[in-house]
Amino acid sequence: MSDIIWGNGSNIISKNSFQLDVTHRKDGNSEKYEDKIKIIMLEADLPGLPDNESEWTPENLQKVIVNAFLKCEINSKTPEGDLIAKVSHSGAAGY
Amino acid sequence: MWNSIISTSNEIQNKHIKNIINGQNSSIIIRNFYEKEKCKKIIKRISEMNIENDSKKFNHIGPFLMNYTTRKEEYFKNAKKANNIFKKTFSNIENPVNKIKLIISKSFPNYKIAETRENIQDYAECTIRRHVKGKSIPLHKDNVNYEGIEYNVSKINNQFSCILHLQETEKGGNLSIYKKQWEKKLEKFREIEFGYNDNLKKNIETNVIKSKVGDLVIINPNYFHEVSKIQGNTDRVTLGMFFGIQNKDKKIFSWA
Repeated sequence: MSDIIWGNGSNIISKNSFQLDVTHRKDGNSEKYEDKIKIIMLEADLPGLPDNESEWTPENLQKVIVNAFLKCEINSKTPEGDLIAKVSHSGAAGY
Repeated sequence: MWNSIISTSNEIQNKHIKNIINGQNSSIIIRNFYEKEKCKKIIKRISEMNIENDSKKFNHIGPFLMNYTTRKEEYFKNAKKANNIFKKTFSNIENPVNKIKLIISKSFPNYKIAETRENIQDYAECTIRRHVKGKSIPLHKDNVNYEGIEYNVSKINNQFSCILHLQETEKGGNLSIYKKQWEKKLEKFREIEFGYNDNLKKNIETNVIKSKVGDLVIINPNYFHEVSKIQGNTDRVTLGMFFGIQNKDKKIFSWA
């Protein structure tokens, strides 16, 4: 099972990366994650974002990521300490 | 004063809907909207039909769109299945979904209730939810503009929610509506699985609604709301559906 963190997207860094303000961490994660961390999106399952990565732009990321509550399933870490993760919406916020 | 508009005449006025949309009132309650005997009949039928729940996580008949935000194909597939179940459930009984649509259309005389379809597929007509003893519904909002962005029904100006109470529990199961609207910046209060942190409701005016069988409750679901723990032995069973108003084309859509 991969490590999972949740939080709100803040700054968009590129067409496939952003800063996450971490609010929740899965019990049993293999490490403690910082409160602010750069996420590089390996894949995404987010309302309003095309499935095809070639269609991602900083503009559409801005719309769907900034302030949104996101679940990041961590795949790996770069030498710089950035996280490569599958990013998705987290459950239902409504009924 | 954050309170409900109570109707005992089985009708509502357009100004009442406007009052809940703009937050002057918490809700509209139409007492005895649907006959108790008919509610009992529906409960009996769904109890006898051995219907598979829409998901393992929720004790629901019919999908609800917010659970399928990025799974449109699956939503419409399950909506089709659910609509067939509802057809059987409501056969030879006054159809509660149509009755709700009628009262809403009467309160919007210049608008037309449009068929809610997308690529020739129907949205779910309603969701029937059964909440058992010990279950509560945490603080949440419903906002199709935000989370339902991949669906055509998200292109509306206003949304409201209708909840028909088919069965009440003896104790608990009350609906609380808080005088606080959701905004995107409040996503930082999200909980992992569902809804929002209780800190959001601190010091916020609230209206608690204890509904009776047959009552129809209409709210603006962008105001935070929750249902307290069901403490009685009888399940709380409701039929829920949403309406969306599109001012440009003067159309009203419904879905669940």
